[in-house]
Amino acid sequence: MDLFAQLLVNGVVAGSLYALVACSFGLILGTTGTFHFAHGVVYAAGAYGAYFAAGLGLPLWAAAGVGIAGAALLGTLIEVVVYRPLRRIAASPLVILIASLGTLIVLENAIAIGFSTDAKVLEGFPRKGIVLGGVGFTTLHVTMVAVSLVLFLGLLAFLRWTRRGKAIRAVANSPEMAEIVGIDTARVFLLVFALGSAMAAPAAILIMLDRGATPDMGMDAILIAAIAVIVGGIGSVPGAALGALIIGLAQNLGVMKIPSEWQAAIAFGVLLLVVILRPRGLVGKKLRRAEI
Amino acid sequence: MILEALDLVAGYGKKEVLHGVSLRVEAGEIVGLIGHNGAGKTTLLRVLFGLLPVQRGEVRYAGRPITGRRPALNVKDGLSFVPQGHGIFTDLTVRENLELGGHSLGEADPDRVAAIYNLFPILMGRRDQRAGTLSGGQQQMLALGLALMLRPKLLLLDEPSLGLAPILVQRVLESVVEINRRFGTAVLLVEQNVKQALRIAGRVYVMKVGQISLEDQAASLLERSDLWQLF
Repeated sequence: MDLFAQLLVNGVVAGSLYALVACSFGLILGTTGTFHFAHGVVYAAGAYGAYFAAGLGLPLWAAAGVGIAGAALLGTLIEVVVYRPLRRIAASPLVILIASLGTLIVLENAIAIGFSTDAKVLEGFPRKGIVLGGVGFTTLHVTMVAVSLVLFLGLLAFLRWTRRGKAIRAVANSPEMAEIVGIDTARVFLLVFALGSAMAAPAAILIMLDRGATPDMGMDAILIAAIAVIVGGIGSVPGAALGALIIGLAQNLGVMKIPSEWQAAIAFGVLLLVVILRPRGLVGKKLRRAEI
Repeated sequence: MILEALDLVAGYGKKEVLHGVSLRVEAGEIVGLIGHNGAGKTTLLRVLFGLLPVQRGEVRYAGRPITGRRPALNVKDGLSFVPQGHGIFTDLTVRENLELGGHSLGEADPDRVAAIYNLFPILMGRRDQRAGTLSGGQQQMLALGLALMLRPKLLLLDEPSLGLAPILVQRVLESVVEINRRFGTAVLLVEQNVKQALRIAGRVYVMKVGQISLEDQAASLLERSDLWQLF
């Protein structure tokens, strides 16, 4: 029972971090229709930006701010420099996907050149162990769940209650109608890339604080995020969070029966199951051709 | 004159659909645009609104050239478009749709929203309902309301009666007349339902394979026994 409770807690912690990347990836995919694989390197850049700023002597909170701002800037730059010109020439979704993958690889290598491929750990978090009813975790784990929850609820509130948030939902629902009522879709795309990038960065910074980071950390993160978005349903931010939580729990609870090196297989197993039984995802709409 | 199209040539890629179309709409009038499927009516509206590029010719709005101008700028100047098949945001509520209708003018004007609920009382009772769950007629009313949030001087309407039951067609077209009368909005109406369109329009253009084949007063056309041979 203790093992089950421990794995459950581990699953929630992992799932909450997955949710940050999945929600941000899903927001970009659902609004712009771009399968933004390079989101993985934007995520990693958030961690390395914070690491660089901490190296300059900035306190942890300020270094995290630099990492988040850097990720937002990089995400919007990728939109302006890579995706926008491709959309302008009506490039197919496949071409955009390959360009995104290329951007991921190039920038991932640039990080490796700048910081080496060794794992880097961000110091300075006052980590303390907590044992509750036989289940062990740390204050960093509590922070991970709290940060994810606050950002997730903040994003939902932003989308639901603010003028810009409603414009994002309008573009996600119908880009042409959005244009017809005078919404500047190019500006909304920029906002979504900035917002999504800024939302993914804290997850990478928290991982760097917990167990360190390598330049290729974004590849695994983006794969899990893509699976979570498809499991939850493309176009639904709560769906992406739900998908991420399910994958986090399945991977960790699965350890009771399957060796931990098969965690990636478990995530893909969940994906296969959902794609076969409910192709639109758990809470998603019917898939449109342009979305995949 | 609120809108003038001069010798417009446009299409999709290399396929030319409009072969030199000219028309005009005066302020405050309802103009009908009728013709068979594939005549180029929808293409013409999309070109006038700026959703499709012009290959040749000119579009003038309120005396100024707007050829190829982005829809967002046209909307700010009071040119609104209601596309075919209910121009609404199906995932958003009725209230959010109306708020977004006025997006380019800033925060939604409560008086304007009230005026639209007054015009379409059924929408008031369903303001927190997701627009995609409304009936076809209600969706069309919402589409008109959404366009009206922009305080348009000219409304480009693409087949507002498409897919509606006959009784709802009557109701929607009455709404168009009411909008014209109450807000002084000029209307360029594309409509498959020819007789209904002729009843509410002042002037009418008939389109045939990408060209205007006839311009006349709607009342005169209605009286012609060879009306159906004109298409």
